[in-house]
Amino acid sequence: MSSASVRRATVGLGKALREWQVRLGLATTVVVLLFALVGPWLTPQDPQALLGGIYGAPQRDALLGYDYIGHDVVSRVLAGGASLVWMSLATAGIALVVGTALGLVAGYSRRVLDPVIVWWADVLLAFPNLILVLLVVSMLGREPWLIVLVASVAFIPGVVRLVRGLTVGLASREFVEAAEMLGFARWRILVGEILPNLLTPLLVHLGTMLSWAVGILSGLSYLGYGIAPPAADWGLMVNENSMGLQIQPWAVLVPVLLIALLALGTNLLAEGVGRLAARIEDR
Amino acid sequence: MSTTDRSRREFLRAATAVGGGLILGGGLLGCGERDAAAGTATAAAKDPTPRHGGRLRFGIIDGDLSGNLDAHKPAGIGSTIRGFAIYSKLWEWSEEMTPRLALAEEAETNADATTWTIRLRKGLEFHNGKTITADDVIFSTLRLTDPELASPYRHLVSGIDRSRIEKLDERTVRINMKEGHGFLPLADAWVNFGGIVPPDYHPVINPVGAGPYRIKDFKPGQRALLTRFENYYKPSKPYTDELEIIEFKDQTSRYAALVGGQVDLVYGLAPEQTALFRNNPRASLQVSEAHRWQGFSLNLKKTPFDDVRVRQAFRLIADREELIRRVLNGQGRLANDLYSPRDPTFLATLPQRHQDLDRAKALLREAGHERLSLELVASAAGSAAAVAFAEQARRAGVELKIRQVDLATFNGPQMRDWQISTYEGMGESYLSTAARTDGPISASNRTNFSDERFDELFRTAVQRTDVQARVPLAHEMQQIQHERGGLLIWAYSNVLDGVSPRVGGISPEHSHFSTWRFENFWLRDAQPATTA
Repeated sequence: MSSASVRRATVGLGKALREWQVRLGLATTVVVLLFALVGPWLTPQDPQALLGGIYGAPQRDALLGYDYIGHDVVSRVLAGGASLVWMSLATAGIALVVGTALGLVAGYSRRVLDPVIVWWADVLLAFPNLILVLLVVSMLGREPWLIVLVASVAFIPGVVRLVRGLTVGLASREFVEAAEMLGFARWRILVGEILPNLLTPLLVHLGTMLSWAVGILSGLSYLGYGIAPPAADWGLMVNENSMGLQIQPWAVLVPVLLIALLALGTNLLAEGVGRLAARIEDR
Repeated sequence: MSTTDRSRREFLRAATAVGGGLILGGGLLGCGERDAAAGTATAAAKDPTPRHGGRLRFGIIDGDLSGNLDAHKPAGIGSTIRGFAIYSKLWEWSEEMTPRLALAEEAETNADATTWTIRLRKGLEFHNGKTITADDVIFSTLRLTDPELASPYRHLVSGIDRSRIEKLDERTVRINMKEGHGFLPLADAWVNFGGIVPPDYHPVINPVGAGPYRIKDFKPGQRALLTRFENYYKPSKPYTDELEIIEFKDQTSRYAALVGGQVDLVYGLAPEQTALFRNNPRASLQVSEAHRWQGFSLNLKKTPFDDVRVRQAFRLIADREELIRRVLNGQGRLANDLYSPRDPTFLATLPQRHQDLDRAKALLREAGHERLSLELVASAAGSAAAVAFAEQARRAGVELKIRQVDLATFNGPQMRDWQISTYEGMGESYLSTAARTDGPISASNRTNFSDERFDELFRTAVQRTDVQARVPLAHEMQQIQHERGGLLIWAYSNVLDGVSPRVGGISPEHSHFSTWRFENFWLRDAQPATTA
């Protein structure tokens, strides 16, 4: 990366951090991400070991008590975020990469590929995200990679629609026509000329997708279609311990709070970046 | 104040109570008006005289099924429960979980159990006023066993020869069994799903039976409202004017409804919920030692369970005491890989298996399966048992990856293909359970257990009318199951029900059905309906 690019990025980050939503969203997201990613190395007990009584009360060795079958809740909370985080990031990332590629091709080709890609995207959009994922997962199983793949497929149409729309507008701009006249290869025009102009809306959309991915993946676990027991997972913890809410609430409240914070953080971040982009565009 | 207003207010009050309970740890529940109500109920509890009137509200959980009213093809447990209210059968369950005569006043079998002669009581009536006759018994039997209806329970009475059901007189029927298919536990098989209905019966447009209540309104997946059948064959019963069966989607909301006063009775609480009933003035926990068996199915047609040493090793891996403590919250008793402990033919003299990891590892080593990694398929209900057992297996060097599947998949045709899966069953008589579970006529033999000697003993035993004559046969069958069968049965679990203080006429049993005997229940605060 050139020094000019680094300078531009630094200036952009500085501007972004002036938005309170960005500051709050970034801080919340980073804290929860760190907790989730470092947590598995800090567990005081084996998160799958059966140690205490069922819904055992908090005590010195188990600060948040025990869950429905005697797992240490602190250890499960520390170990249970990694799966949600990597799956959410992978879901949003795959959807972003594949959706962007398809959207660019559709928006720039405007011949046979455009209607075909848009038609497929529309068909997929007709299914509510969660229903589509539930349908496939209930038929094919609960493997994490499969859940990620299906959830990302559910997100791809949204990215395709967004990128295609923006690409159609950009394709008729002077700098693209100039690149075409200079005989640049199509992939170079797409990647070098059009894609950089999509980064801000894509960043905003990535944040939104992350929030949705957190919601869908934890929702799947809550419904019993996500990560399979005995693995530690925040969504699964809510599902497993919901019956003990009135006996030992920590096993539900803490994972719920962390899921909510992660979703809120990514959402605020996306919102802040979106507002900043809109303001810059207005100028 | 309209009923709707009142219901909404009651709901809000209950929601606030439950929410407050969450925040305050339940310590401040039960102030003011509710305490007064509880006090009245406590005073009335001292009066054991049944009262007529009122509406009894029963809360059930029926999973994702919307249910139906079919007497012979109920969809899900909710439909079976509604069936207990709407339909009467020739037999009913006793408090000891044995069949006893209900609509039938006499049921006799010949020496080799190939013919049953059943005589109805006098003066029986359906809800529509029609007298119940032998023709109705014949129609009901033919409908239950009709291949076109495809009742999932028809295999339990598969021994009935449909072409040789004879009417002897207006109240007497002779049922002949197919040659070589003497089937002694006909009563056990029939008692849940053999409702007697008239020939113009239709489960949707004419759901007529002879049970204590007749259907008034049914919204599948939501609720059923039933009204008292005045000419029920048990004198002066049922007691309440109406019965409302309300469906819930989860235990938490149903418990909230019970303590909030929206339902009076709930069936089948989760073991974790027992703590909620300690010092709870709004509802009490009723524990029935029902001997429902809890276990795992080891598939004999799949490696490594085709090797008896691996099956024995798994039975030694199980720490049954810990499973009872963790999965059943102590609400169960130790089992020894055999079902039906209350059956007079039960083999109680076999040494109790306990966890022995060294012996289990040695057996696995002998069988060449020192490093095992298997998939354990669990239903949602069996998930906790799967988690606890997987952890125990880990200590023996066996990795069990849990795959939780929905109920439809769990009970679907794939059930016979899984290596190991969670399994549980009712605690009915030994031969009936064998017929359902791992006997030669079982349609859902998850273990794929098939043993020439066992099958021979089963076919002989079902033709022995004398219990004492069945004992040696059943003992040898159980010996075989214990040595080389495919079931790992670790406990007999209790049935846990929640009861409001306003309900009378209910007590714990050794059956599953203490809360399904709707004709016995009455409300302590009932006001008899006034006649216009």
